Amino acid sequence: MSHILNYIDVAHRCVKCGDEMQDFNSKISGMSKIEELSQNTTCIHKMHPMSKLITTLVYVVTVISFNRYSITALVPFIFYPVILMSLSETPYKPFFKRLLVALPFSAMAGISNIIFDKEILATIGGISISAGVVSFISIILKTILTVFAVLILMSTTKLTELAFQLTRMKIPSILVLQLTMTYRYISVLLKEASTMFTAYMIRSTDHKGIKFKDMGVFLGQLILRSMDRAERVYCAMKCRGFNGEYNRTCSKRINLKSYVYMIGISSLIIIFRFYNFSMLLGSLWG
Amino acid sequence: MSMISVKDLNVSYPDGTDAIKNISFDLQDGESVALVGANGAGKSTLLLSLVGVIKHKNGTISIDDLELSKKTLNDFRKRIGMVFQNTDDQLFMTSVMDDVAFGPRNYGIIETEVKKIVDETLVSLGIMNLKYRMPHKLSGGEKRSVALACVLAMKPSAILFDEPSSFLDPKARRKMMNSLRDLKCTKLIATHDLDMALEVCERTIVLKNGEICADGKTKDILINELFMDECGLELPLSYQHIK
Amino acid sequence: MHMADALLSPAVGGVMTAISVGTLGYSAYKVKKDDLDEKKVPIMGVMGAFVFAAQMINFTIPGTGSSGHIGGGIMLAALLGQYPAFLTIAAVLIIQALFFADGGLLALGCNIFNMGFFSCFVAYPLIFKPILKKGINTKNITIAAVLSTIIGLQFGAFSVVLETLASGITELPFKTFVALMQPIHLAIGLVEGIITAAVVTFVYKMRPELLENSVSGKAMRDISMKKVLSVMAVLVVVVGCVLSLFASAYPDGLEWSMEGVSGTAELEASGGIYDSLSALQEKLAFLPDYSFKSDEDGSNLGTATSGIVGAILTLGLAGIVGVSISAIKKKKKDK
Repeated sequence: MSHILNYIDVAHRCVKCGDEMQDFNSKISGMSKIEELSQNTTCIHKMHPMSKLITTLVYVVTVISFNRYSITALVPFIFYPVILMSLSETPYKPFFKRLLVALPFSAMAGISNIIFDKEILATIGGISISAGVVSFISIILKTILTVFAVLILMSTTKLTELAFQLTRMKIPSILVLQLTMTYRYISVLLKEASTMFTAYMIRSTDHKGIKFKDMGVFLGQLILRSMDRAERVYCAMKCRGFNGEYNRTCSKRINLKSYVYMIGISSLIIIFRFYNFSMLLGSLWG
Repeated sequence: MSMISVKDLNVSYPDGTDAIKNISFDLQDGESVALVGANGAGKSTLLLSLVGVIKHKNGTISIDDLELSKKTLNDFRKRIGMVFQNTDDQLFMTSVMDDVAFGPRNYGIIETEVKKIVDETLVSLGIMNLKYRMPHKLSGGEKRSVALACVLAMKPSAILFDEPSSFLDPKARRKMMNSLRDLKCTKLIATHDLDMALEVCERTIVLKNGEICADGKTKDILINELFMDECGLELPLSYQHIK
Repeated sequence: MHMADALLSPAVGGVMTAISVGTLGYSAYKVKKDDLDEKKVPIMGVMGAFVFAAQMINFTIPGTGSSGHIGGGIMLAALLGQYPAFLTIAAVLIIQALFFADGGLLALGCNIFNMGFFSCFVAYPLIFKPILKKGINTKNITIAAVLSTIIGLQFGAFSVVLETLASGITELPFKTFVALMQPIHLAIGLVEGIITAAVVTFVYKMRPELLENSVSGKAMRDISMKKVLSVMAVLVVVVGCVLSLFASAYPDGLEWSMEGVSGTAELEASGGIYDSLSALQEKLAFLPDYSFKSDEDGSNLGTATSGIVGAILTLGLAGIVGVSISAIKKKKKDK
């Protein structure tokens, strides 16, 4: 009888482990999804990485340059993510998932605005809207726009290409190589950590996670394995002539289309910064 | 004229104990040689010494009369490549193309030439379709092929293999064995896969406790049950069922 | 502790980015100068991936039943040295920002500074290393790790407060913000410090040379506690002063902090930098506000309504454009 109970117990733990493993897998799947998307070949994907990077930066800086009570002027900025996502055939769902992670922090900071800024700005249809609510909405809007802009950049541009652009901007190759290697080994290390985690959980009594007292050994083991792996990678690199420099010449020349993209969109962004498109549209209506 | 010549090689572990004791052997141009032995016999250590990753205490290692030393290290590594057991250690770039191009680029070859070499190498192994893929997304067999491509791109005269058939499913293993047979360069293959050694290598060197205890025709050595047992091994599986 | 773009102003983001870029460049230079620089590249790469993996491992905090995860700054600095550690943390933060929207793009400058600079260049050299110089043993490692992690995080958290307030997007008063951030990060720092101590002790037991190598290096003269504290105090004042020059929305909150820190209610800086910075601010103020708060009387409500209507129309228009593009693309594909 105890035999059977043992089996049931182990099976139960395996299921729990499966849940924990799902957690690891889901975290890495978000990154995998974006990696996959960056392999597509739409017109946006074909744009030069530099032009996409610069456009994203201009967009983000412009969006956050609005003061905290701006809402109507920010709304037109929604054209950027909507149009780009349709053109690049990027699905909305994974982005919303990522947004759900980023929103709570902005929301919490924004809620303080509602609490502290009680000055009534406007009364619409009997409901008085305080300045705090306005700035809260503004923060949420900014968060959505900036998060989407970055995710669109990464789902239409491969990190390799982006990293290479950094070397062209005279950023030392040691930094860029290290960045790409970190990226490359994340899935390997996660797999290793996940396997260690499973092995631990199968033999542990509670299922909440690693016991505090075991964290030192657990992480320590993972570090040592990582250092060993780094040794072996270093050997492999030396065997192929690595001498500290990573030489790479440009594979893509920036073409006219990309210039047009970059300058065109950046100009539109700046125009929208100075002219409130919403107001214009609204005044036409009224 | 011999290709790789190892004379009186002595290698120690970091704690001082001997890993390789007075080993001497020659590898002829184009030979396929299996390196077998129990765990801890010194196979990996020997391979790593041959590429200069582990420094040898004394003895000489030379390829085509070029002796391995600190000065000649770079040159030496152009001529001898090594495919590691764990492919994740060997594929460290974010695209297959960049990984294969890594070696040639480090040796200062111009980019147009590098592109040609990458394409030729990928085509020769039948993996041109993997050119723009990310290494960490490939299957075990694909990774092995790419790792081989990375080494071949440097156009070495000899290639060392550390357990090339490990972690491969049957089809991938078969593909690897075919690739090994098609390679024209000199090959030294450290392996536990005695059946593969039988199929791919005409000659076998048996290591035991850091010393060579047999060096001869694969068929003669691997069929000797008593001898294999003494060296901590056993008959290849394909011979076992004959009994 | 990751800062988001939405709570940042371009000015603060720009300044912090410049500072971080400078520090990164200097760190890269220092790593290259070291003879073993080429060996550091795979180590930094793989350890960066390790930090990623480690941050995904939740552990249970005894007594509270809640779970948390580690940051890793001091751990990295202890095992890799301060410059490689800083580069590694930066790489991790960059990837988190790009792929996980964990921290904004412009906010990277702030995040790299908040989470990298203080642990690698303040806490590690001024607290961790000197304590271990006195002898590497479990007791010293524990004290060094806990102390340096706590202090590194306290500085980092305080920077977040200053950067957020200087940006002027959130209304949170200084006192409240500080009262929230510091204690929370004190607790986090304590937990992480203990774990860091355990990890470093374990690594030291298994591979003593790892710790010895990074702790040795240029001999540091005995640093007195007084010196350490005064350096920290100066840092706080400098950081506070620089950022307060950009503050436009919080004269009250920052005045309070100024009073508390420098003893004067108003920053009596004159001439030179202050003038050119305030001139820059005036120039930047020409950017139109489009805020609901307008100094003009009367037209407020009118503008507000047309703005809202326009906004709704814009949203609708954007939706239509998006759907049409997707429909056209689909048709092309079906052909």
